[in-house]
Amino acid sequence: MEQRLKKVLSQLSIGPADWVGLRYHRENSRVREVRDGHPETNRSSERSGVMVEWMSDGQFGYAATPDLGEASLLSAALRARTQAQAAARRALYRFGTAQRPPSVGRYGSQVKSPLSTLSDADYFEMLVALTQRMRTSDAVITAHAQLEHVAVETCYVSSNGAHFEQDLSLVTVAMEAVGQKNGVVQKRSNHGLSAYSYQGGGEFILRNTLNEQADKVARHLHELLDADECPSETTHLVLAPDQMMLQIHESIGHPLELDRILGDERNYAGSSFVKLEDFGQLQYGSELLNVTFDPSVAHEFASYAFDDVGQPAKREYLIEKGLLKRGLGSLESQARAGVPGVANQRASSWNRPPIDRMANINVEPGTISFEKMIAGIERGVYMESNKSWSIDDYRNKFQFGCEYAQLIENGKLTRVLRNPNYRGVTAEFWKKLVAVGDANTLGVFGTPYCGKGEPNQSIRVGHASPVCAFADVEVFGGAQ
Amino acid sequence: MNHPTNHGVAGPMNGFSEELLSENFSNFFEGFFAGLAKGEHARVSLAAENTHFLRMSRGAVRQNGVVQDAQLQIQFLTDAGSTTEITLPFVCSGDALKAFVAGTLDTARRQMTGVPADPYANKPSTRSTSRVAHAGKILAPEEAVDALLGQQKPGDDLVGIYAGGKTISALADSAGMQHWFSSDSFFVDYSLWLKNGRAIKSSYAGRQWQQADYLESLNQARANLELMSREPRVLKPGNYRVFLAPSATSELLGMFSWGALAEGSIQRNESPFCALRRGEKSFSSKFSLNENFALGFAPRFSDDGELAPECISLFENGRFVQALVSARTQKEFGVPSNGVGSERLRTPDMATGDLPLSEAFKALGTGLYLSDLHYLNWSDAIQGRVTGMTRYGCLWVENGVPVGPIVDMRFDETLFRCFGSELADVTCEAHVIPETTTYVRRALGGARVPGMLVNNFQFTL
Repeated sequence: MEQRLKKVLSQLSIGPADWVGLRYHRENSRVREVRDGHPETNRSSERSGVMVEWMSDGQFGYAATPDLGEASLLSAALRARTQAQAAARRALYRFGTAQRPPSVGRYGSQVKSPLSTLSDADYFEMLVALTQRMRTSDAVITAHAQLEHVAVETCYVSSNGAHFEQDLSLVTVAMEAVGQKNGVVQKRSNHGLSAYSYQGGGEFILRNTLNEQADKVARHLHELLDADECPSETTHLVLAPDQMMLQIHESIGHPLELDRILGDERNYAGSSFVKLEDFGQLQYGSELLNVTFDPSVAHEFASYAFDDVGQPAKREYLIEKGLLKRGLGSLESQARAGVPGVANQRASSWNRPPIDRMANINVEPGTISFEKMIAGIERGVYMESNKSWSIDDYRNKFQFGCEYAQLIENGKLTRVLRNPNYRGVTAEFWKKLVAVGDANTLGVFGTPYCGKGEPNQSIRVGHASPVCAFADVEVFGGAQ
Repeated sequence: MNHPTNHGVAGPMNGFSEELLSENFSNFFEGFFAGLAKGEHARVSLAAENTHFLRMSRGAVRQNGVVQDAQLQIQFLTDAGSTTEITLPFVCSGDALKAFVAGTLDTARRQMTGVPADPYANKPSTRSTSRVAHAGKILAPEEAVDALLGQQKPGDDLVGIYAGGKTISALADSAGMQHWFSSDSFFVDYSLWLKNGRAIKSSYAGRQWQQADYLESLNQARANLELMSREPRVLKPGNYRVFLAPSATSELLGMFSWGALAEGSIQRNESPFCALRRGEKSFSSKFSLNENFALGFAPRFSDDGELAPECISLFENGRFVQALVSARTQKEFGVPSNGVGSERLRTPDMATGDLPLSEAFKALGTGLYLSDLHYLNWSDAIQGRVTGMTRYGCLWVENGVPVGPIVDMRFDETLFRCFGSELADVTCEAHVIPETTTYVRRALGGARVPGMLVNNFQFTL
């Protein structure tokens, strides 16, 4: 592909003040899904194409096509130029080649065990067995298991000498069971909606690991069917890593996106309570809070070497000892905002332009063990696995629900609680962080479904976190 | 995961000709169906678009580009019950197409090897044909910037997106079903902002761009923005009488597609509407809802090869008539299909009531006028309880007079109260809410909904 893109580039008449980049993106996915022992999905898909970006008079225009023939790409380039020229008259900001660095390199996911060693029959046999494993009694109404593997290949060349290629291997396994007993209906999954998402290969679908997850889903589901409702009170809240993932995503990741702060997302995803002058000044959380943008974690879902405009990606502190240091903003947003950012201008596919996104946003581990954390709490609620999420368009007033909870009484985990929810305000919530678990409590998760942008884009993100405890949080249960 | 592709072969995308796409689509499915062995069946669908996306921020161009796309989806089934599905870019024609057909058929057969039978898969079985082409007048890509941003007034802070062009959806199956739906259409989904962070949301959509209509939409939004300059009212959590404008009603109706109205979910006891089915809960006699393809927003056929009737009555004067039932659910649970495919609303049409929209403030009296809602999710799905936020032009109203904006509030309320016990009135006018979703591709569809007056709406934060 590199040669074809370079050949097209060489045939274009690019003025001295203009710039052109071609980004090839090919995504092959394979989804296998079983419900109650029967196949429900057996799908493969390929999405591939090229986006040509043309910068003229400081404005980027783009044209995207799935037709990879030279004539098609040349035609797309001219359409991109037309769009750049049309937009330059009323451009929001005058960009330059500094926003498209001439990066050269290659990145590939670390795959310990290739997925190709298993046949379709093997995969379906495994998924059927997992659904059967979750149906441990007549109280289980339905059980579902899904495995998705995605291979992403990108190749980028530009008129100022950029050439990089990245190959990703992505695995997601989702399991869920629904049960009913005495009029109570509950769901339990392996870590919430598609949170078991990683870069890698067969090492993430080891039979023993998935069997353990299926057994835990079934065990917890039965506990939930006999559980009390989560009480309504203001108390200590302890969040497992698979709920911290959502908490980080919604109330740290999104509000720190510079394009939201600059106002670009006000018509769709929303704005932010964070202001540009807050960087370097705002105490975002307690001194225990340390948050990084880290695209270098080997198997985390959104690791990469370059963002989709060629900025080399590296680990950066966003929040250190509770102090806000850096935003989630690309070279374009950094130029507009005048604050430090990261390499996060990403596109969901070949047919969408790159915008400011999260990648891996992680809370760094603290020093306290899980046992000591719980032992230090007289009363509280421990929650696992997200099932409901809602937050305002400034990323302040939130309400989140979890699948599974346990009461904490006198330093011990006691009764299981169903329908646990909590609500709060971001600007106050992170200041209530009173304990951060050590590295032994760390969990690494991800999701394929972060939505944003006009036109809309759904992108993959990763979140790692230890168990964390918060004081004085409003918790409550389901409707009566 | 090696798919048969034709990279490098000049195809129909270059000029995006509907005629050429149609011809190539026919050549593909005719060739594919001709290659089927005895006991093999297939459905082929096409989703294509040629769209101009113009993203605007602070009254200027943020991003500007064009996207051509064409994707084929092939469902392959056998009498033995094996099934598979393949999605591929559709970029070839001529001799390359013949090789593409053969390669795709090989992939389908290979992908089914050793896969257990799907007992609920549905083979193609009916013959039907249709061809709908909605021609329109869309802005040329090079003209759109000036048309959208050329007549702003000083101080306008416009944010949003224009999407315009042709979308195509087509389906053919080996039993003889052949459908084609194409539409030239556009939408401008935008908001106007004040320096105090308050805004009015609006949209202009259709098939025939009329500059005067767009400017009228902008002027109406500017007029509505005046109230938003006042000091926002901070309200305490609690119960308030509210008027839900059509766009807010549409957001609440959207939750019906989160598993609630799906017959499969009801059969698996995962839906809040199980309680309606059992007669334990009810909706108000003021509430009626149809899935109405006669509105022309979306094709009656689905990618799953089902053909819905022109109109499906779902709720009639509060009575739960039927859920959305796919052929798959019919096979699994024995409930007759109503041809909807995905069991999600694509073109909902909520019945109007008696309250003139112009009297909404007066009828509300003292309470909240909710223009828009944001980020809805179940807070207790089985109980039909929904949480979400107010957004944009929501107002505090006293004695029938709008006072000013509010600081946005979180609500937590059940669908059974909103559309049932607390539903006081429904407006006699309904608004069309265009579908503006553009994940992967520009979606087809839209809703026609009235406003609603609701008592004791619960706010929690």
